[in-house]
Amino acid sequence: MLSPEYSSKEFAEACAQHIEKRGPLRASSQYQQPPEIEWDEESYKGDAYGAYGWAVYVAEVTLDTLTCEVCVDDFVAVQEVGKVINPVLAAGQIEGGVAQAIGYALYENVVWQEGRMLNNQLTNYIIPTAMDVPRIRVHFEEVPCAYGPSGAKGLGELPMDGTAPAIVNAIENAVWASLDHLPVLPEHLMELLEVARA
Amino acid sequence: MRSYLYEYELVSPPNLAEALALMAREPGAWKPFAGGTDLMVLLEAGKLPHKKFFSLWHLRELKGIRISPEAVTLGALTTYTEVLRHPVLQQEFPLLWRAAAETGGVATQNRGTLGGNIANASPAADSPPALLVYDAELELVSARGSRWVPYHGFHTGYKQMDLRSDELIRSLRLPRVTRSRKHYYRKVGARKAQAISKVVFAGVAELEGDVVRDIRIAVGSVAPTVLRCVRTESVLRGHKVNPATIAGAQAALAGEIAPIDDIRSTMSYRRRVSLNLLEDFLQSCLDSKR
Amino acid sequence: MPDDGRKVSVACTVNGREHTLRVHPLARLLDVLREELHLTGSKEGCGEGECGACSVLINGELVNSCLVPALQVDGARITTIEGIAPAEALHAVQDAFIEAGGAQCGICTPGMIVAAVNLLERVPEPTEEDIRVGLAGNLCRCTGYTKIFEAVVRACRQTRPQVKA
Repeated sequence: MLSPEYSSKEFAEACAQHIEKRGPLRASSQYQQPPEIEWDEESYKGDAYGAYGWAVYVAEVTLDTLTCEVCVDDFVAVQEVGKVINPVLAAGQIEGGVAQAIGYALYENVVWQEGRMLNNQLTNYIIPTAMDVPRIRVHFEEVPCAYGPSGAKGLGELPMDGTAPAIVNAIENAVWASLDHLPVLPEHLMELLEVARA
Repeated sequence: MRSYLYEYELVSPPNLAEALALMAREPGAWKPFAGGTDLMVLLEAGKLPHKKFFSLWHLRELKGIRISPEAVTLGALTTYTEVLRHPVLQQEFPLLWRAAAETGGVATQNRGTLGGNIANASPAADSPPALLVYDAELELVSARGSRWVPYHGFHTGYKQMDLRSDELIRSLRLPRVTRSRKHYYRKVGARKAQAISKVVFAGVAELEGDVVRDIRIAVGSVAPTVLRCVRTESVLRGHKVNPATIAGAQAALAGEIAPIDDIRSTMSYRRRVSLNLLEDFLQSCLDSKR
Repeated sequence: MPDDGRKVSVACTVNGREHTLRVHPLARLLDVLREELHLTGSKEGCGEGECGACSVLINGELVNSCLVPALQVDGARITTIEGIAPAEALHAVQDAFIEAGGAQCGICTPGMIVAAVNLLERVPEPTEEDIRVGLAGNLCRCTGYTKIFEAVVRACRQTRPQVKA
């Protein structure tokens, strides 16, 4: 029914004709991993994924020396994702992920007592408000991936991977000390500064 | 909603006299309910043991901000938004204005009231330190009459206050003596908005050169009640502000406050921040640009 | 039913329509809107006045409806998200949210839009700081707020071409 170069309108008409004449048509296919992607489950060697997204995150923070509160003043997120299919949604994913990771880095402490989470309400589990998040500046690079739809690769995880390390690196740059625990709370930074002063 | 609504009552006396008569008839049985920003949270959490309330929200006698040459008198039902919209408060009582701006967000500010905040008596509340350093007085009213008390000393222990079971807070009064003074306010919370304070510091000072003529310091979240730091004040009053007196004041403050570890912060952080803010306050008194 | 004895009559206007409701005086306005009036646009995100998903306007002022007892809206004029738009059209803020991508999962969106509309009514030419302060009581987990700020600025420009952001 269809010529080799069919339009989506022609495709819809062909489907309608088929249903009228012969009833519903079922088709199925199964994804076959391209043979070039090799992964050895026994030795854990090869390509664990068919495609990798790449990103660079840059955080600029202010540390208040009176209170050790940290504020993210500026944030730049650059991602190479193969192909951006919907620019608004793609940027929205990055911005949301960065904001979540700002919470992960600075605010979202979990207080445990005998296996129970004590601060399990929005009043005491601290997620960032509109006043705590800067304008997040997002940029995409596109190096189309042979295996992706229109060359696209995944992007949603990236901001959660790189944002907190960028923020921690910025704080370490400010306090000249090593930090190994998230979230980085003012209480901990205050202890560090006390030790440094002494 | 974790409470069973039908165990509760909320009645609406048509005027203040009726409300006071209700309280007088059954002392302690009926408790006042203002904007609800504290009580509704408790109700929804299943943590409101008291069951009978009367609504104050429509009582005109508890509203309004009146200006006289000597004082500003605020009705107990004055909301944070009403504080923020009042130019005299912004100019002459900037710490109260700042406290209102940092309480919750716009929606909370539209419903939260100064009287409700005082009666709720959280040691972490944002406005009480400002009220203390401005020498606020409270008007307490009952069917028997009314009395004025200094806000300093009103809170006698954790969630305890000098308010009898048949009394309501009707007004707050702030003497208008603040124009020539240095004002300092800092609330430290877990984030920039919608945060219960870890430390909240208010200071007002009158200086002659670098000598402290008079000073008021109040800190919240470092004791079972909001704390007016009279010992620290007395160490500074009449003295120059310099590194030695600042250090002496910090030592006095460290002895006066009693911070604890809790779900929000730690004793040592609160202590350190209080001392840092005190130093910053005193330095700002010397700095004519601040 | 024995519980009916505790109910009271509350007369209010919701989105321009007058209602007389029989409700428990301490019933949350949020529940009254959703369950009595079937206005399910306002959401419960936290039930403790923290997240703003339940935001409505009472007499033009922004409130968290999860914290307002029904008794206290007697005589009030209430506007919910359903009443934000003029008839047959979208409010400029709603249009802007769609164009800018200000909504992802949508749970904060009704409250966020009510708060944004209220902000622009109070501060027609908000600075970036004004926008943050105006929306500080509305938590969003999905968007990181950036496109919400863009939407507010865009809505502002639609009505006032000269605004700076």
